[in-house]
Amino acid sequence: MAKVTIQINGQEVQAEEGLNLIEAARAAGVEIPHFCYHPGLGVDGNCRQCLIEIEGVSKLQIACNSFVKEGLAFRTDSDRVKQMQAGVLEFLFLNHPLDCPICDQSGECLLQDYYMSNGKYESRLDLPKHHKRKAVPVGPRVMLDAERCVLCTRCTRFCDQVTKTGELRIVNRGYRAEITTFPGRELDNDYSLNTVDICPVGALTSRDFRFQKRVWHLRTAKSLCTGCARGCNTYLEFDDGKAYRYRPRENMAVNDFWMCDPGRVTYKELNDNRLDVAIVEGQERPFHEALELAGSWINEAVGSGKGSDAVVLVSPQCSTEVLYAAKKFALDVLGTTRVGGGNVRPAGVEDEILRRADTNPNSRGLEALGLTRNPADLLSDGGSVLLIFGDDPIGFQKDLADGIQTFQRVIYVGSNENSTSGAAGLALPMAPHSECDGTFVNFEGRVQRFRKAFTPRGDALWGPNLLARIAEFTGDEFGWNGPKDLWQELTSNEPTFANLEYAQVGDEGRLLDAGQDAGRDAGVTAPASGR
Amino acid sequence: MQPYQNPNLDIAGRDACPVESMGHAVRFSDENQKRFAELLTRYPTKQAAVLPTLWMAQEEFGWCSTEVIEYVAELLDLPPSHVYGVVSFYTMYYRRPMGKYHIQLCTNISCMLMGGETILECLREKLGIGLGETTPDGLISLDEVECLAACDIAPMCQMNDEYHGPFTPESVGQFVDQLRARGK
Amino acid sequence: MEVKLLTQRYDNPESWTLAAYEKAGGYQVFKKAFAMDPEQIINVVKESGLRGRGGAGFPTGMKWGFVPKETDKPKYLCVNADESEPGTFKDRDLLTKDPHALIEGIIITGWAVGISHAYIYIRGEFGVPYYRIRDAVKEAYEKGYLGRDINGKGYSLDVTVHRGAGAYICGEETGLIESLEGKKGQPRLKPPFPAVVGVFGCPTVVNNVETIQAVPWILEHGAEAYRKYGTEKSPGTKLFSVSGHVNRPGNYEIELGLPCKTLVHDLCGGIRDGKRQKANIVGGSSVPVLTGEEADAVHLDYESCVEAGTMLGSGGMIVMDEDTCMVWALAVILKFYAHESCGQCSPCREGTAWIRNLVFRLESGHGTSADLDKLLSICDNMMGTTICVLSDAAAMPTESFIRKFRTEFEAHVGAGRCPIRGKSSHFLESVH
Ligand SMILES: Cc1cc2nc3c(=O)[nH]c(=O)nc-3n(C[C@H](O)[C@H](O)[C@H](O)COP(=O)(O)O)c2cc1C
Ligand code: SF4
Ligand code: SF4
Ligand code: SF4
Ligand code: FES
Repeated sequence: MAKVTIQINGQEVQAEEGLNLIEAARAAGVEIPHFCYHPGLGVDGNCRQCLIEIEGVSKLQIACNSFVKEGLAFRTDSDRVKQMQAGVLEFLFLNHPLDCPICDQSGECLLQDYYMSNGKYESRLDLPKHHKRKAVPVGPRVMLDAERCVLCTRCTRFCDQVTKTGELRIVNRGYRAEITTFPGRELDNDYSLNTVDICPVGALTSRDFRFQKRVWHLRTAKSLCTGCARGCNTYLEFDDGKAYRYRPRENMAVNDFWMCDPGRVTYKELNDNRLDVAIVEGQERPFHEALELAGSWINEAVGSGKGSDAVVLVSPQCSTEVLYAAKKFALDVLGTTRVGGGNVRPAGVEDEILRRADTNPNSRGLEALGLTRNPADLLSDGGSVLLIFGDDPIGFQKDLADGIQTFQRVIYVGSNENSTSGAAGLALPMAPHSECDGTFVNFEGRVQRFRKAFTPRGDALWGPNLLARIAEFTGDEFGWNGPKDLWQELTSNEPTFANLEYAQVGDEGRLLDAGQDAGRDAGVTAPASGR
Repeated sequence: MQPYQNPNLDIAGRDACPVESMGHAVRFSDENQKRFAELLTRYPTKQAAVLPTLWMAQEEFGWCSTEVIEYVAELLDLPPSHVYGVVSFYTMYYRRPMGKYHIQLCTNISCMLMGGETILECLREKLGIGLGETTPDGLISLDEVECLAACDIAPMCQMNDEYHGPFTPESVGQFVDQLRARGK
Repeated sequence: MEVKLLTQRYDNPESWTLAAYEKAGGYQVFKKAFAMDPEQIINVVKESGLRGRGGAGFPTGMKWGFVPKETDKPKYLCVNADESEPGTFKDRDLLTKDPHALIEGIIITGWAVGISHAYIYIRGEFGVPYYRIRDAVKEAYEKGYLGRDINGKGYSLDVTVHRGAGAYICGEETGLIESLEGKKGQPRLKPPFPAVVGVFGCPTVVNNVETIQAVPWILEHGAEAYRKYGTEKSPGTKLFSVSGHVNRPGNYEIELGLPCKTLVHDLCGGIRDGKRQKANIVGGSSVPVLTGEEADAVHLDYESCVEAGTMLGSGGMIVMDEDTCMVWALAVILKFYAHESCGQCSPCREGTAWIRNLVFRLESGHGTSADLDKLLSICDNMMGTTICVLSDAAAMPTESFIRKFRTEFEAHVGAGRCPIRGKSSHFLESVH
């Protein structure tokens, strides 16, 4: 689209022709308050909060349904606009309960935000409020408080347009209008929690997150969902070394504005059943002792000429960096070519929205590093040392246990306790993707970055560092100065990743075959929740 | 006298839009199946047939229960919530069983100017029920409606698909008596 | 005085039957129209100065002209027979007494605009009018006036009568379109306008019953003959539905521009019991109220009404005598808008109920004088800020009632009851 010149509050700016004025103003750093418009759901024009004054048009117009064209001039700061915006806000407050102190949305509520910045009326609302239903579960994961609803229809449009399941509806008309489901039916699609994200107020809340945490205590890191090969972009929200929730992060090339419900709960793995200390034969041991033991096992194998007999089993659950480090460790330290791995998990549900049958976040990364091997084949002949990185092969595929058992020494490196960590003679704690920087390559071959949210729990270490610490005991030159350093080496050693600098990957990711990237939609930049 | 209570209004803590169950599934008669098929030929989309199909359903089944809504939704390939939304938006689709005769008194401006409020009192007294209620014998239901486009015969009411008026306190009593006789 | 162009056949025996209509010379004009170029017909309608009779008074020929000529999409006509503006009941009689004239009007409009299917959207409450138009359509099909290849001219037109189900807002043209598509009747954002993107995503003309029904007469007698009636800018005749405290309520077809005084005091026989006219809402409950004196001075054409600070609207005239409590009357009117707001737009959904509740409170004598200014300011925020003008339609009467009858409102404050009726309306208090 062509850039044209428009005027916002007397200021000349360049804007994309055809863009609506909420987006155009946002791009110029001017926020126009709004509830019903959402870039992923289009214009509905019902809230009337985005009224602005367009030069030469006598009636105020809604910004969401007015579009950039050459020479257009509009104001968001005139007295008339301010009066009407405050007026609309007052209407929305009329029957809104005084729930802020007990409302989960508090802190990320558009009504609250706009009230603070705009609603300068003293209370004229001296009539009893119209009451509606409060705290009713509308589905297994979503709670409804109808009194708080501003009837913006974002949630109904989501269920109509995105999932096409149409569970939610506004019933009745006028001031009795209320959001609900058909009697006896629930909001139970695989994407239902997105309605919570897009609800501009506290009408729809997550039953999982409800009352867990005041949002202003949360901090945010750009992350990725590891639930499947889509690799939905997320914000991981955390506090004090604990993950509280995922929210989808806009990426028009990957997940638009959304993520699935099953993916959203995967944050729990970052907290629960964590392997955060070293375990030797079922007993917790000091970390350095365990590392020394690992080193001695490896020395033993290499020293007796059985290094090439060792196996390194990696997983598409691991980051590209861990995979690269494991590969290098196998080749350089152990001197074995028996390194690789593949999916051990049952296929997930695939749909036409986001979900992929492959429930691993990094199958393409594994492939790009030339590490795709059938785990059963790799294990079939047994050997001296088995080093397992991530996932739970035994838990997912019982028969892999036999293969694993035939190794003399089994070392598990992972983030969670599971059947495999339990079966290993030695289990070492590795930082999951919430605790380090790294990349996954999604099913389309898009390299995407995730960022460290907080420092590793317990004794956990970034995978490559953990290997470096073991290598200290084997006397090998091994290790990197952090993820960036490793990435630089990786891109120069691995042809598939050639020339892919971190800066190029950016927040939106980058296809391995960058030529494919050309046709991608130009997304609009999303701020935090609710928009 | 019962206080005014429109069943659709006070919904705190209850269903947003109360719609009752009939307790059994429904299916159009053969004749209505045919009418339904014909109906579809009159519109370029199936969805456009929602209102006329609901009318047919209400005619055949008496009111729009959850089962009726689900049936209509299924016939038209729509989510039941869509049909539910439609039913709740319009005042003429009944979400509960109605009396054989449905008196809807106009309480809009012209009828009120001409004494509609008094007529309402007379009806409530005579029938012994309030607005939104049905006589215990199931014969007569009473509701108020907005302007019926018959202000020349104000104060007036709609009784099923007939218009009646102008009423005086006396004539509205006689009107009820006639209905009772008709219902015997 | 009365001029019966559209209502001329009302008194014929069984006027609603095809036989009676043909006997009166019906179904001849469309044949004349078929011999004309569609563009020519649109020009005649333009020249006649016919303006929409549904309320807005938009020039009909111009509206037809907005429909794109070159399109491969079907074009639709929606005849607005939702007639729900309080005080209006003219379309009811047109449908009941002369349904074939509407059908003939549809055929001519259809030919002129290239319509393939016309839907008559009739309000669900109408019983007899519905049966009449339904049966008339059937008769017309049987006679070959509708359907394939009408009159051997190769033009095909279907007409379907579509019943609403009780919602005032379906009279608003895009609410009607949404409802016709099988949804809640919630008005659409404009643009796009229906003439370009209307029902089923296709170009659509929406016209009131009376508008379409005037078309055959205009085609038969010519634009000039039509312009002989009415004023320069408001030519022709218009049906007025008069109700309230007049001696002879009913429908009157009059020349536009007739003094309101003549309609009220002569044709309708004046105010009942010889009382004084306190107020008059000339164009349906949505337009600003006039005092009796103002009403007696106004002429009934679009321009004069605007000059007098009101609107001609749908021609639903509501007359109130000196005993009427204006606070109570406004409360009754506002009960309607709160009930009928479709609920999409925040200012309308919340505003209609808010001003209703405030006026209810005033009526009960428990309001405050601050409520009056509060009401005016809420009304200000409700006007010009919504998708359709229902919000304005609730705010405009409110403003005018308060401005013109402020003393009556003030008299209620603190009185604890209505000083005019001597009691408060238990009915209004309990409607919440
Ligand atoms: C709230 C509202 C209600 C309306 N109700 C009606 C109605 O009942 N009948 C009607 O013909 N027009 C009604 N209109 C006007 C229509 O929107 C539209 O202007 C009209 O049908 C166009 O036809 P006309 O040009 O022939 O008047 C209403 C408009 C509004 C805003
Ligand atoms: S529940 Fe939230 S998203 Fe849905 S309509 Fe209400 S305010 Fe909008
Ligand atoms: S689609 Fe896949 S990546 Fe996206 S949220 Fe769901 S599980 Fe996670
Ligand atoms: S103004 Fe009122 S009736 Fe019109 S669209 Fe908005 S909410 Fe609906
Ligand atoms: S009306 Fe523009 S964002 Fe709601």
